[in-house]
Amino acid sequence: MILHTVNKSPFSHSTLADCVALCADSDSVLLLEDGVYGAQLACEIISLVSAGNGVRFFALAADVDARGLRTKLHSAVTLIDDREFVALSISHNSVQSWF
Amino acid sequence: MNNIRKSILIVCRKSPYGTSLAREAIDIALAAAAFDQPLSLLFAGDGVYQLKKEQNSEAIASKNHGKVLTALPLYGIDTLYVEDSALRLRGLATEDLLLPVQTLDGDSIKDLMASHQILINV
Amino acid sequence: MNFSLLVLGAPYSDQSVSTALRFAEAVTATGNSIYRIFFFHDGVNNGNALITPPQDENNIPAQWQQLAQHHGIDLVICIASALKRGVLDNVEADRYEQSGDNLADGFNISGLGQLIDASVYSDRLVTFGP
Repeated sequence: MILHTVNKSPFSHSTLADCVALCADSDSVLLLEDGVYGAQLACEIISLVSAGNGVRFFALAADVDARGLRTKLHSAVTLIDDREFVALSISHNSVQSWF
Repeated sequence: MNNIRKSILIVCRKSPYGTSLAREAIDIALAAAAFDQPLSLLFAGDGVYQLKKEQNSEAIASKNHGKVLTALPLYGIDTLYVEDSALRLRGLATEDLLLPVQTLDGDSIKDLMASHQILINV
Repeated sequence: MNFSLLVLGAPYSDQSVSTALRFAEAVTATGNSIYRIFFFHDGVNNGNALITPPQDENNIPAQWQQLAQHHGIDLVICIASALKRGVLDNVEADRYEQSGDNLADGFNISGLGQLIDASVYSDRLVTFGP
């Protein structure tokens, strides 16, 4: 089980798409910094991926709120804080950062 | 570090020359090889361009990245993995690359990632 | 669990640095520990003693220093990245006959071997890139 972190907007970079293409069903993806733009309903990637397999999506609440995205989020994304980020790092075998 | 052995996977995702990160990923690989930890190197996304033949970086006053990579076998890094779909998307084939590589599909890469304890993705 | 961090971004230019700081603070706040923070690529600027932020902004090098002091964390700046970017301790400044040194207190200059050592000895390595 790998925790992947993505910090780029899917509207300007292929980073999120590249990441999910290499996610196993038991992996999780944490969107942070500009990556939270991928947590929006308007981003198709999450719809496609969450429909197909077990990859779980998370987003850092601090980054979502900084960017005013609270009301725009995809329902498949769970908002977490920094301590929960640490907990996810522990509950997964390793952390792979995509930037 | 004598008693502990952990497998390291370095994923190189950056194209050469545009940023120093491509070169720096290789520097990490060489350091890991020097410490005798089990090491795998995967070129993915634009990282596959690092292996492109016929690089000539003289006019941009940059060290030839292809030449840097030819040092990898000298450090015992013999197997270079390459993301197959990244090559195809970019219209490249293994014949376009300056070192022998093993191409991997998506499922094989997922297995590679899951089987290494330390993942460094640059 | 014991963590090490790899920080590649420059303070004030890349949000990844602030994220790394917050993560490091959360690690210690949740009863976990940090073995080493390795600064590489533009991350070496986090150890620049001459950084002078405006009064109404956080002092990032100072935040790293305080974190390291409170929790006994090893802050390592990669020597190759540092020399190229003009972050030198007094040893390197003398060696290269530079006019001054600017490595902030609490940071040490060393090689990539320290990153590999950190990866092997820690339970988790987390990278924060630009």
